[in-house]
Amino acid sequence: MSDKAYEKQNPAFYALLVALIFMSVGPIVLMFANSFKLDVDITSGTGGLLFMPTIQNYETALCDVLWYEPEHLDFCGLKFGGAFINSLVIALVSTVLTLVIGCMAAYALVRFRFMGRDAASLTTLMVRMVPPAVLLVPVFGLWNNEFCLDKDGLVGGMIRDSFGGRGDVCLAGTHSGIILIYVAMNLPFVIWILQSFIMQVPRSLEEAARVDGAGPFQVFFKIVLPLIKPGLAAAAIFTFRIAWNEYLLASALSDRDTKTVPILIVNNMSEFNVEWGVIMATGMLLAVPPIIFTLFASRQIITGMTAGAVKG
Amino acid sequence: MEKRVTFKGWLLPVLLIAPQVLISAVFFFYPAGQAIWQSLFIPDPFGLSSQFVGLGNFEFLLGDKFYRTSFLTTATFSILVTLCSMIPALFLAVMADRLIKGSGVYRTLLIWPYAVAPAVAGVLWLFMFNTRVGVVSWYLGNLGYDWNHVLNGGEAMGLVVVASAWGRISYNFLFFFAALQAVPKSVIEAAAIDGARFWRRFWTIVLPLLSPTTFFLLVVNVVYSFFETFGVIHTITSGGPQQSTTVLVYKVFADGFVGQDLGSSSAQSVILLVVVGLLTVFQFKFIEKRVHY
Repeated sequence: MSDKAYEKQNPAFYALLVALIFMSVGPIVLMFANSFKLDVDITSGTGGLLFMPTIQNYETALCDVLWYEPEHLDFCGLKFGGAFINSLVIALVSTVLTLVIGCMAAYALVRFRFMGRDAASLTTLMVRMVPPAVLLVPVFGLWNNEFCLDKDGLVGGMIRDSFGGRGDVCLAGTHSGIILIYVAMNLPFVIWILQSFIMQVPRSLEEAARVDGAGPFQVFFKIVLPLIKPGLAAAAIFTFRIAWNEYLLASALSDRDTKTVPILIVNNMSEFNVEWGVIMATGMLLAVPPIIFTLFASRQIITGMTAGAVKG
Repeated sequence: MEKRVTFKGWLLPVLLIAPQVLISAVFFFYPAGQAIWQSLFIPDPFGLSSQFVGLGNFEFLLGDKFYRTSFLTTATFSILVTLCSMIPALFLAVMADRLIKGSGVYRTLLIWPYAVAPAVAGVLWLFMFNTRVGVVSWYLGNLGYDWNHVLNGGEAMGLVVVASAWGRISYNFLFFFAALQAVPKSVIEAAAIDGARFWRRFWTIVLPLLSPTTFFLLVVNVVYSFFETFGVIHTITSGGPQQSTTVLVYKVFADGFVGQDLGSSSAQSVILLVVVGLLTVFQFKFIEKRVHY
């Protein structure tokens, strides 16, 4: 801005700025530093930067995927590797599913006139306002009792024969159960973002393509899809982040083999023995993928998020 | 509304929209309906039978002292989280907008907390303020202040608010920053020539121009503080000393999963749905009308 030249910068502003940045980055630095400390160093109270860095915590966390056996460990109790893969599968599959279904629905809502279009549009808006947390109890019940395949039935019997297990095959405790609820709860927002992006695609472009004889599919894949890429990126980041970090529903619907990383971390804190170093290490590992994600795509996220939303 | 390119035919759009409708119906509306249905019953402790009680669950809840306190707690919590996450963000954005150099660095640094999971953010702040090993509580102790969020409800609330607001500051910052960059420079220059100082210009020109963004963020942050902060509260206080941090969502979980009172929990879900509906209507009817430039 041109008025910067004659506006004198007050040093107090800088001080406040530094303080705020310290507040936002400080905890992460603290987590990073402590993940390399032994519990003895963490709890000693000095809290200084003088310590012997060790990767022991990371070894403990990753013991189920390491190719060697860490010396300090007798028993590998923490299955971080498995939880990490669960998180990855759940987050990626639900993101892809949400984007594909959301794209289809948004395109249909914007570009087609058909019966029930307004109703569909309205329900999307309504669902966006429904907090998933209030569905916790019914979801838990339904996933455990009703959305099941009977063990005597055809498909259920096949699953039981090939994978074992005694009872009915239910959605609870499977990856698909968690993925489906994430897709259902993220869809409205994604449709909302993509709708505003598809609307912004210049009408003349699509008309030109139509005149040249392109059908709806060609118009979509050749014209619309390349133009709404920022919107897709924003929607992808949004859904990925929610699915990656979500705690409440995942804690209710997952079992021992399908639990995600946030649940693993919280469950690892018992009342009497909190291994702070290991928790910091797992927290750091959990934060790495989204941080990398945001670092590489930060420009696209910012344009995508703001373009989709600031219109009000 | 401007006329848009449309295609004829009904089969294709229905096919396109079917998966979304199906998924929403089966995995969202059906559970929601189930919540309403269950709220009319009281199941026995073993889940073998349930008794129809009509609106008995609601009656009990509205007379329940703890539930009414929980409303107040939720309101306090949401307002504090929204303020604590929006005001620093706006301030930072204004600063970053004034300093041309290095705004990219701030942006990269500030986006980090946004990537940290709420549950981990909770653990992190719990670690810093832990009464035995926490760094901050240790310094506070040296200053003569005895920090103990396990006993003191006010401190517990403060800690939960800070931990929840922390990750949102960067998110809000990005929006405010983008909006500030879009403010036309000519308007500000004109005001500067007329002799308006920085804060005067900020109050009279920039802030009104930011109102659509502010409104959007207000909605998003209130929704966030209502529904996404469960992980933070669960890890730090688990509802807090004497239920001082039991917000409505946490109470749904605590009564339903810990207390196994499914009827009451469902009734709370229904009340929460109504509250959210009213809040949404209020936000869009009354506040959005005042947002203009």
